[in-house]
This record gives sequence, structure tokens and C-alpha cells, in this order.
Amino acid sequence: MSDTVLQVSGLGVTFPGLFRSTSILRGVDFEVAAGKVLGLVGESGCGKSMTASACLGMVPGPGCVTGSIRIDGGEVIGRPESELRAMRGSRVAMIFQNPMRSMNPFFTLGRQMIDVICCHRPVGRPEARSVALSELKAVRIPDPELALEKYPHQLSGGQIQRALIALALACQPRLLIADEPTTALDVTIQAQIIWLLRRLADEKGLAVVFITHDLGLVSQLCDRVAVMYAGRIVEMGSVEAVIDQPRHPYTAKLLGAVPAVGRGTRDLFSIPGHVPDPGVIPMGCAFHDRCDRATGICAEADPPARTFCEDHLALCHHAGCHQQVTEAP
Amino acid sequence: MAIVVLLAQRVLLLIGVVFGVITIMFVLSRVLPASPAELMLGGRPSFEMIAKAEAELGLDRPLAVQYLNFIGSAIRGELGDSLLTKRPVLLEVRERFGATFELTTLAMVLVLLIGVPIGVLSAVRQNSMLDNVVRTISVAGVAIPSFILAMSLQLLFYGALGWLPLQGRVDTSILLRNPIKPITGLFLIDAPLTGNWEGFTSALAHIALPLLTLTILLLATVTRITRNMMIEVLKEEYIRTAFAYGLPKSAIYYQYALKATLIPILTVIGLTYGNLLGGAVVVESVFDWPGLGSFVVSSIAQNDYPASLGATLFLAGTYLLINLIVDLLYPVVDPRLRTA
Repeated sequence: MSDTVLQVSGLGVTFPGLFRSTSILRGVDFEVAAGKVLGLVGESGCGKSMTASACLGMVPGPGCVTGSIRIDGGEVIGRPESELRAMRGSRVAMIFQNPMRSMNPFFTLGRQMIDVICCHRPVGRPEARSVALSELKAVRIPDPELALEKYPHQLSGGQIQRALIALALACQPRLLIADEPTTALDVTIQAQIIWLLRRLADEKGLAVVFITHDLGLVSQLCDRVAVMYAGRIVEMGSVEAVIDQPRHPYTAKLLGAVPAVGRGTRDLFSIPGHVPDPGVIPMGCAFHDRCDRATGICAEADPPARTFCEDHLALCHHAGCHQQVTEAP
Repeated sequence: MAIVVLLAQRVLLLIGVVFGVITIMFVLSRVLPASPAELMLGGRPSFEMIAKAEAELGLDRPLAVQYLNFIGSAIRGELGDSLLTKRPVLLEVRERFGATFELTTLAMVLVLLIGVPIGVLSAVRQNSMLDNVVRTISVAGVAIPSFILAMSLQLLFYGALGWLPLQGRVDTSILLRNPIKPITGLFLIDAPLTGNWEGFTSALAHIALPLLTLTILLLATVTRITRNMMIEVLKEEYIRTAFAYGLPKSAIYYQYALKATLIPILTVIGLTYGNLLGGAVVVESVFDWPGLGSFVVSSIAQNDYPASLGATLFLAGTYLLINLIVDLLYPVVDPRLRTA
């Protein structure tokens, strides 16, 4: 087994409520090795971003976190805030969905980069500045000297996202969590960011968790993919296995919902129904009320985890006989 | 370049507003039933005396000429002599402005030094005990009428405890025996400069109560604005980013977030400070503080027409100037406004 950077097991996040508590995550397990990219896929509200927040120890307020998250062998859950702060940025870094709003508009790019570098490395501000410069060069920002003096509103979305990646990498973390980093960008810029992430994983041995709802991007970038639904990973495996041979009907439907250029808009396919509210997750398989292959058992028992070749895993009562079920009336 | 354009815009605007103020004042002074000449003479003057005085004041000329003369003398700062003290209004206003400036500037500084950090703390620990206490006190501070607060403080610190003087700016005995020589017009600066320590302690004791009153009254507004803005800013994505990159909390709150809340704080400061420089009328009257506020009140009450006109013009001027400065500070705080 290669060098595991992130190991999440039995991760649960619950928010206590007045009458009943709400479980956002209900037992999430996955791991990411150095140099590998894991795609975390699912509809909005399935728990992707909460998983990311938990990895940084940033679950908001009353949320109760259970299970285990190990980054480089160090446990995240239950650590004191001061140690978490030292860990954020230096061992695990994160980039966000909306680059334009992720940087403070009142300070120059240089000021913000130098602040972060100084707080994780034992360097003075001039040294931190040269670190910032070399990181900006590494992500191929044109004219990095000038970029350091600029305010976020003077840069484009793509440039800021690169700068944020540069900032994320400035303290040489082992793990990068990218929460829909390309959603707010043009398609052409999107491709550049994707290639940048891939290159960083390959060249620097960075472990990347790439959160997205775009399966097209996953197939371009990721090594493995985990599909989340209602706070659980319902299918996980290598990108080839999951995309070519989805075992979970939810994955199959997600794949069916990816629009292809050339298909008319009338052919757009959507999954009927919506992700269940975390407070009222149905009994048995959480997907059964939207699944056209559901049978009686799906509403009663939790689906078992079934493993297929190459550690391809799916949580479905019918995972094995998926192909046949498709053809049934 | 953008800064120069902005400056030019604002200054032009300011000049326009000043002309507006002068015009309104001119119209008002001519609309009033009593002729300025009559007011000036006082008592029951004969028609001949009034006509003579009107000729002296140029009131017998056409309105347009009067208007232009009025503007001319306003620009030159010739505001005439006070009817009561027979001294130039400008001199009178300048002396009293020192007292008002000393009181309100100190109050503003205290309010900023106390109110902003409390507002930030209150926002950071939203709904905590501290936050609830701060919120309750600031509602009370906004709601309480200034004269009630002022008199309560007098009752407590002068009446019951006898720690502080009741009113005035300095002990009368000191005024007679060892007066503070005016350099800047601010007693708290002039007294130490001239080595008049007796005067300094007296001035300090006298300013304490009006200062406390003003500070409590203004603290409420500034604390609330800071708290509410801060809560909004803390929801911003760039604050989450700062946390995700492991910056220390103190840096995030007092640098990254606070700078984003400065604009509304500046606005409030500009408006209240401008208002106060015009004299915190009620507070100055209760404490018999010899500032502009009490001057305006007494000159209006006693029909001292050149004095009230002159003071009004001066007040409008300071108010506009303060807000011009605030306007020019906006782009210093927010780089996005520099390219306007």
C-alpha cells in the first residue's frame, strides 16, 4: 500500500436539535494516498463540504464530530484549537468554490500570502515574500512581482484561484482539499486549474481531495472517486471502474445526468425527487424512494457494503445484479 | 490620478453646498419679520434711527446687491460684531470652538478606543453573556435622553460623592488668579505647555463629567454599528479562508475583519463628530460648557442676529469639512474605491 496521507474512518457529524438531532454525515470512510487525487462527488447537500470542513477541524458551532480523521497519522478530531490552527495551512490546505470572494478585498495578495507564510514558517517577512514569489511562479501566474502588489479585485477569477493554490502550497502541506474549485470559473480556465492540480499531485506527491458535482471533471483529473449520498459514501473505486461500470444505481443516474455536447437540451436528464433532508433520512437505503430498482428490502434494511474487483465498493442491495435490473420493466 | 479626480469632485461639491447654506441663511434673515437693523438697535427705535441703521448695514440697497455683499463678507470671514458682546463674531466663535473641539474630540477618541474593541468582542462571542450585557447597555445608551444622563451624573458625582465640579470649564478662582494662556485654545494642551499645573487639574476635573456623558451617549451607537457589521463580515468567505489557512484569531478579527467594518464606522464617526462640533447643545447647556452649542442657543434666544448667523455658517463649514475628510478616507480603507 502506498503512503496514506488522509485516512477517514467512521466519520459522523451530528447537530443536536431541540427535538431530534440532525446527522449530516453518517459514517464516512475513505483514504487518500500521496500523489493521488480522490474525487468526492454528489448532489448539493449530500455532505461533501461538511466532510472537507471536518478534515480541517472546522465543523461549525454545535456540531458533534465522531469517528477518526488522520492526516499524516495525526488525529484531527478532538485536537485543541491551537494545534488545529498550526495544522491548517501547513499540513492540510483548502481552496474554495468562489475564488473572487475567498480573498480579502481590503489587502493585497502579497500581504495575505506573507501573513500565512509567516504564521507557519519561521521566516521573516522579506523571506516570506520570496517564498510567495516562487509559489506564484510555480502556479504560472504572469508577472508574479506585480501580482503581489495587487488587490483581489484587480485580478481575474482564474488568477485568484491560482494564487489561492499557490498560497495553499506555500507551507508545503501534504494534503489539499479543493471544494468545487472550478465551479465559478470559465470552462477554459477550469481546464487550466484541473491540469495544475494534476501536475501538483504528480510532481509534488500532494494528496488531493477534489470535491465536485461534475463527473466529467472527475474522469479527467481523479485516480479514485467516491460518490456520496445523504451523508454516506455509496460507491467508491477507481475512476475507470466507477465510471465504466457503476454499481450503485445513484452513480448510474448521476452519470446519466452528465450533459454531453451535441445532445439537444431536451435530452437533459435529471434524477426525480431530491436529496433527503438530513433530519428525515428514510429507513433502509437512503436512496430507495428515488430509485427505480428499489424492492421491499431497500426500505427496511441498511444496504450492505459489497466489494467488487480492485477495491470497488458499493452500498446497495442490488449492486451485484445492476445490469439485469436496468432491463427489467 | 483617481484620487485627484475624487478630491476635485468632493471639493466642488463642498463649495456648492456652502453656497447653498449661505443662500438659505440670507433668505431666512430677510424673511424674518423683524428687520436686522431693528434687532441691532434693540428697544423701541424711531423710524429715522431704523432707516439710518439700515443704510449703514446696506439694507436699503436692492436684494441682489445685498445677496452678493452677504456672500462676499461670508467668504472673507467678516461675520460682523455680536450685538451682545460687541466683539467680532468670528473671534467669539473661535474661542468657543476650542472648548467644543476639546470636549468632542476627546469624546470621539474615547468612543473609538472603547467602542470598537467592545463591538468586535461582542460580535465574536455572539449571544454570549458579554454580548447580552453590551447589547442591553447600548440600547439603554441610545434610548436615554442626554439631559437625564447628564443630570444623573451631576447628582452622583457632584451631589452625592462630591468628587467632581458641577459645571464650567475651569475654576473661576483660577481664571482670576492664574488664567490659562491661550495657545491652541485647548485648556488640556495649553495648561501643561505653559506649566500651569493647577489649571490643568482643574480643567481635567471639569471636563470629566461632560466627557463621560458624551462618551456614554455615543458609545452605544459605535458599539452597535461595529458589532452588527462585524457579524456580517465574519460570515464572508474570505474570513473562512483565513481560518482555513490557520491565521491566528486575533489577526483575523482585528485586522482582516475589522478593516472591512471600517467604512460604516467611519460614516457614523463623520456624521456624529460633525454634529458634535456644532456643539453638543444639550450637554453643553447642562454643564454650562462655554462651547459653540451654548453660544448658538444663547444668541438665538437673545436675538443676537450676527452671532447666530456667523455661528451657523461656521458650523455648516466644519460639518462639511469633517465629512469631506471622511469621504477622502473611504478609498484609503477600501482599495476597490480607488478606481472610481
